[in-house]
Amino acid sequence: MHLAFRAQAFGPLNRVDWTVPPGVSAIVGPNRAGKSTLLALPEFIRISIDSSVNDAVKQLFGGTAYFRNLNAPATSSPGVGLSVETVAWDIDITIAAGAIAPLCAEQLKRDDRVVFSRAFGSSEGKDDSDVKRISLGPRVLPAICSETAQQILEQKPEVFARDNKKTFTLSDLEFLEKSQIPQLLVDILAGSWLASTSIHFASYRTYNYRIQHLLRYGSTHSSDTALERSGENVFPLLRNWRDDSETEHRFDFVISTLREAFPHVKRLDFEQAGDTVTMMIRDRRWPDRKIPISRESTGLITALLQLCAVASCKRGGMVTIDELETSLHPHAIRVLIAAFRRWATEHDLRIVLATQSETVLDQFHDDPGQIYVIEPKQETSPRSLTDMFDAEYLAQFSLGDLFSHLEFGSNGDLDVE
Amino acid sequence: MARVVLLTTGAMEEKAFAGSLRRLFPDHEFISKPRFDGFTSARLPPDYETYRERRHLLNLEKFAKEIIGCFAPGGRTDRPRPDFVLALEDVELHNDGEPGNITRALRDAVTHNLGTWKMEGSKADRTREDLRTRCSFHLMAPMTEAYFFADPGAFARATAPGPERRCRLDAATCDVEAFRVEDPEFQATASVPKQHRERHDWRIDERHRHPKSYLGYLTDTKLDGRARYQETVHGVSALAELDWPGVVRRGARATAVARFARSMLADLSDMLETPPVGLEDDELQPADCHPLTWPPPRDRVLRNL
Repeated sequence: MHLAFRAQAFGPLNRVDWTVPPGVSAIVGPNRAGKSTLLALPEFIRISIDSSVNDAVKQLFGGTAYFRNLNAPATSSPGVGLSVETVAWDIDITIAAGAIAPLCAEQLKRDDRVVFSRAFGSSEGKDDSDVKRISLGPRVLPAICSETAQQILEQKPEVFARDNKKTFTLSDLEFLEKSQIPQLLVDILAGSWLASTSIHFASYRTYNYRIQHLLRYGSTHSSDTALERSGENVFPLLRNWRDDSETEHRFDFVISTLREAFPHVKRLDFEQAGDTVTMMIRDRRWPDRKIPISRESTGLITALLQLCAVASCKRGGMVTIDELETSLHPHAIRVLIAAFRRWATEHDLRIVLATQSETVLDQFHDDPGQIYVIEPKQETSPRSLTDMFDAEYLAQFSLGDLFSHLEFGSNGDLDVE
Repeated sequence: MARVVLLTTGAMEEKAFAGSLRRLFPDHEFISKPRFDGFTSARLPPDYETYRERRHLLNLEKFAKEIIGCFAPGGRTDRPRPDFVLALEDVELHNDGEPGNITRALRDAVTHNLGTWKMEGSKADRTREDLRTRCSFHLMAPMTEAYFFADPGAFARATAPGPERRCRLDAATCDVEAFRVEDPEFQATASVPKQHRERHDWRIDERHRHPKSYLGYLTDTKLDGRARYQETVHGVSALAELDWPGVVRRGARATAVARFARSMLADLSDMLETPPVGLEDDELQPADCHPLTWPPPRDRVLRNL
């Protein structure tokens, strides 16, 4: 499945044209180049579709003050876009009087054909015939398509009935197009399908994990099946996975990888007192004792959270992790990345790691094309490492060494004396 | 104006060598890459092929590849390539008696890696030619700090605000590259075993041959191993304005001194087609240079190896 993100004047990023490859990939660059902002882009789009652009700007940028690239010309407005297979959505985000203007200009395309478009400020849209005007609500086009598709499905289930399925893939759209279904409805489905893909984008920042709070206060009991951004629900999450046959494979993935990275771990046990859930480790060295998780290393807990972040991702989804290497020994880094690769293959995931670690980069020695570089003077970010260097050249070196010697992912050319 | 990229292995050299050379060749650009791990901190074997895959030669392999990488195809095209590359390494005490092992090892490592690096025919030829004409390797003997003793200004900066005791090495009567100091108190102080020694403690074995240790002794107020001299502060200050012409000038001596340093200056002079500021051509005669590093041999792999 082709997945690509676009942006302009988005935080510190001038222009983004980012095709995310399947499997595990890495983003590297100097501090303040925009790595974290790039990783936040999928979530920005998800929130924009799920809620609103205004909410996305508030949650991820804290408001409009630093949302628009400070170097961008005054006349240019920020924008974001998403392509999933042949369906593409782009929106120009207008800032007026310090706030996100409602009803931003946007368009939805399929196979390069504009299927719906909205001019700035208009509550009417056009379909691809450019003749029919459609009344649009304040939400963005993919969300409107999603709502509309849901309504039609509820009112006329026979319209989309195909093997009684309620979720659609691209091949379903192609099938419907060849049937008697009106093009308009197929286009609505395409927009809805793009929206449904975006809900599986998740981003985690290692520095946002509230580890000390977690160790001190445990987790609040919940029925969660995905890791919160703060990591605070990790204990009931793991227990829920373990106790449900539909999700126990996620628990198995976490515990088996944890044992490989930290060989002293024998098993994980959970304890609950009132509403608080916590975890105990059975250590191979002292099999008769349960060690409270609070006595474990920060590295183990961080690794646990990273594994749960990845295991939380739905099939076909995308998860980004900022600063995977924090608190992790090189051995643990190698084990986790190898495990991520297997999991990503089995579950058709995209896992993107933003990193400054030579050890992480060295794990891509056999596939340097999975490394993407952001540098300050780039016109368009990110850039694949194999667009910058020949693969044979890269094969001669440790990628971590090249990075530490400022050959890529640095602030610029070497200093001149 | 030529762009000369320096490949160094020490923090001091990384920070100050480019500026130091810029003073000698002001019309040219000198740039230091971030330093590499050195490969002379252990004795190098006489036979590269036999020991090539041993772990202690790993840094040598990396250094050789880095040298090749400066001119090999497939690197970044959006950054300027160097016109010349100057790679530098200390001889160190381990290799003091056999510096030829260093030059031989590096030459063999470059040759070997050129053979295994996949390049199209014409590009491989071009790379070899570039290495032969545009890349040099030079040695500081036994280490860069030795030259501070041959320049009163550099010595003052290295021992700032002044040595705690008299320096008993008279550079006017000796060759600092054959560093041997006769200082009874310096030599009489008991050595401290490595496992008990703090970093930069000068109380090592064979210290009478070790310029950095002597600087440590001269700047150690309490003689407790904690010297005032810091490579990245005082060493940088000393090297940045080192009087290279003064270091290599024969003066009243009958024989040439500082031959390795002279080799480097002679090579640079030839490379940039201009003598260094403050030195005449007759001070850079090939016969006065160290034969391991200048003049260039006939069958060379690098400019001077």
